[in-house]
Amino acid sequence: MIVDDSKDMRVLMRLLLEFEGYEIHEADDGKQALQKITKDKFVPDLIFLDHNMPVMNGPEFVDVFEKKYPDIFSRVPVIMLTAMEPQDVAEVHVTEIVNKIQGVHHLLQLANKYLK
Amino acid sequence: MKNNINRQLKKNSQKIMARWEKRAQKELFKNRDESSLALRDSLPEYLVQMTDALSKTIERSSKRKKEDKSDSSRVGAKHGHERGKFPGYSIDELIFEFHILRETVFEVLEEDEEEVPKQARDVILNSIEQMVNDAATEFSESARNFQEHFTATVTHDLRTPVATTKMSSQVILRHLNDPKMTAKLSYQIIANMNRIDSMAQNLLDTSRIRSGKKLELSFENLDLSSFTAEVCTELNMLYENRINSTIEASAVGRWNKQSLRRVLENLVSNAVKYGTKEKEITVKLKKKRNKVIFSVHNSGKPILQKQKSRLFEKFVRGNRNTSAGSWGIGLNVVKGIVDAHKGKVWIESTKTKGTTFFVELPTQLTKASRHSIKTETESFANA
Repeated sequence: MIVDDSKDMRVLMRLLLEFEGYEIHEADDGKQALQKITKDKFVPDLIFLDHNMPVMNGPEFVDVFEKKYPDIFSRVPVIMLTAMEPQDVAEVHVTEIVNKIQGVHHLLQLANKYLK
Repeated sequence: MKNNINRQLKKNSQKIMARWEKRAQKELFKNRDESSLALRDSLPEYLVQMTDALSKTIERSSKRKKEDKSDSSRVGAKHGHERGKFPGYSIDELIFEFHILRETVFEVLEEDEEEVPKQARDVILNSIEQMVNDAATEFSESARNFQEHFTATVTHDLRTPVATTKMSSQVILRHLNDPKMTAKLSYQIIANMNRIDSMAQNLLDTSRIRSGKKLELSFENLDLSSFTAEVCTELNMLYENRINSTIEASAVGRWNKQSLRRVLENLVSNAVKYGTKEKEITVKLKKKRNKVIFSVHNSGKPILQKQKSRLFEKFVRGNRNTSAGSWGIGLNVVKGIVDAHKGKVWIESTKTKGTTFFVELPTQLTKASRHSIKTETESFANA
């Protein structure tokens, strides 16, 4: 699942990952991502999560996700994407923090690492 | 005698305030906007403190002296902290403010007294000196924090479209045999590059505005109606046809085309950012005698009353969480541009009606603005 308020980013990630054969689900923000898990009973295999988003940002989503669904949270890797330097991101319970500027090769490597 | 000085100071505090304000306005703030003087609020507190210090000059225990020093530190630090948040305000100006205060205090006191006695003079000078020291220390700290925060925000916001552009190019290289996708992503790259350019332009304008200068614009005859329609068409490509425009024909006047494009772009991008997702953004343009009023409306959460007055200040952003390209200077740039056109900008925002930004621009320029345009055009031509 790709959680990002930027449509450009969601389109790019979809193009990239669908071409590799992955099935993609999208959410505009943390709240929408939680709704997918709560209402649609959708359990993603991997979450690419943007840090800064309106409504509910990345760290807020992680906080609620972990508290509400600890079992799912413990087995779903969460990759946080940010335009900041990863070391500048305040402590957050995610699998990896990645700078968006690193480009598609790195994102593909991560997808393959956690999904294959 | 010391108590007499104390009484004189109390009696004349309004006069000192008024005289200080007049000089500060003339010598320090003449090129700045009105909000600069909002910090005059600290001055009455200084004066009370100084009178307090003077009233204790006869019997001042070491404990009392310590307390007085701590009071002046607090007021000085508060003032320095506030000034440090003023972009473009220098430490020299801060010190000069206190210099004006010192001169004004003695000038007023010596109008009634022949000479301020040495002991009272020392108390006043020490009090001001203490405040200058604390204000300067706090000013540097506050300015440094502000600069760090600003740089981090600018870097983050510029990196977002740069990252998307880089990824788009990499995806194109992986799908060179798909012309439809290549075209789509190429448009996305262009839109992101425009976004970066617009951020850079906003940054340049802001640095001019924050140094107290008015934006220097050259004006030309322009049909704002067809121009607004043209900009709305372009913005619709960027924002997936969310903009609905109602434009009265033939609004002709003398304006600066590129800067008004930035006004529209900033207002529309704000409406997209802060309005309800996927709801329509409405741009309207109306003629009204010798004025043109255009407005940009979005539905969604209203802007709080207390936020409205601060919205056009520098570096105020509505929602820190948004990742859309902005570091809170867009509306400050809008105001700078509208001011340079001798126009007005205001907001109406309610829960039921949503938020509308209005911009009113005169179509015919006054004598003063004609002169200023001539001067600006000449200076531009001579540059």
